Amino acid sequence: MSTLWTIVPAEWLFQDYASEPAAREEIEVGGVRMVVTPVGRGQVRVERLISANPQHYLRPEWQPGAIIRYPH
Amino acid sequence: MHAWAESDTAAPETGGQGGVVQSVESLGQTQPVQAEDSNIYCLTIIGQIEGHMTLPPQNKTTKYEHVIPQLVAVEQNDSIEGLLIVLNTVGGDVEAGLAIAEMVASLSKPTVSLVLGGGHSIGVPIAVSADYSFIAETASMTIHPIRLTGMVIGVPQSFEYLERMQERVTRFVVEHSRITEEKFRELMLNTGEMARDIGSTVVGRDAVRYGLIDEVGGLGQAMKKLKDLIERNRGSAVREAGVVQ
Repeated sequence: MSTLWTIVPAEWLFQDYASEPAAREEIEVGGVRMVVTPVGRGQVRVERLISANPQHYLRPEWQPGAIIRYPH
Repeated sequence: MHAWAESDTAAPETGGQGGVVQSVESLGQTQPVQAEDSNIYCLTIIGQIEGHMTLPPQNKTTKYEHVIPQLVAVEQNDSIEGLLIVLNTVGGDVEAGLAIAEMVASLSKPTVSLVLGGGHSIGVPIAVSADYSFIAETASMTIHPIRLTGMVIGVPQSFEYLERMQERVTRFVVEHSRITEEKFRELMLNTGEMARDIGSTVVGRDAVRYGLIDEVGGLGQAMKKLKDLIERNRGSAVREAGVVQ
């Protein structure tokens, strides 16, 4: 169940709903699994981490939106 | 048995030369960005708070599945003594927002929130969940009921379910701020102010006047307050240690 409580009107929020979601891959970087979106030129953008170690989530280079080089 | 190092958040996973090679390969640079040697962690809550459903790409979002472990790390990491939460959000997923708010409220370390630009809808509980809250003069917070412009997806929501959800949000806000339940409801059910909804948009000073936010201020004031709270927290920890001796 997902209730969105926001001032943004629904038609704006879901404008792009029908378009293809960007391809996502699960990879391992530095021993940590993460979900990334390829952005071309051998780079990927971090979407989220999958880690049980909370300290990993503080690392600036692995914040959602960060670009890293992959594949190695 | 601990599987991770307590305080070293920036160490490469493999040491020495192997570590440098790994860094070049994975990050495209010779050295991973070192975590600041700061005792304060700054968490930004921006755009839509994305919860159970990924929103279309033109939306900027705060991913709650990343924020939650970050808050766990802040609680656990001994070198972090306080948390600054900066908000500029248009609201979002109710359950994800409440999860963040509850986690912030239950942190054992000092927390200060700062609302800049906007702290709307589910941003209200998050803003008040900190030990002390600030709002910039020009910032605004929209207080409106969940059921009207809120988009409900999936299982058809019964009126009662929405009532109960609204209740728990109202209770959270009233318990974590100085606004009275009567005043909060009055603001929430105000007609005539918003074009497509009922409710009120409360700006800077008014948020403080109603008791919703503690003080009008900006970054400087928020940092100073956080430092003061950290000092006080350290002081009481030292006193406790003294008593044990």
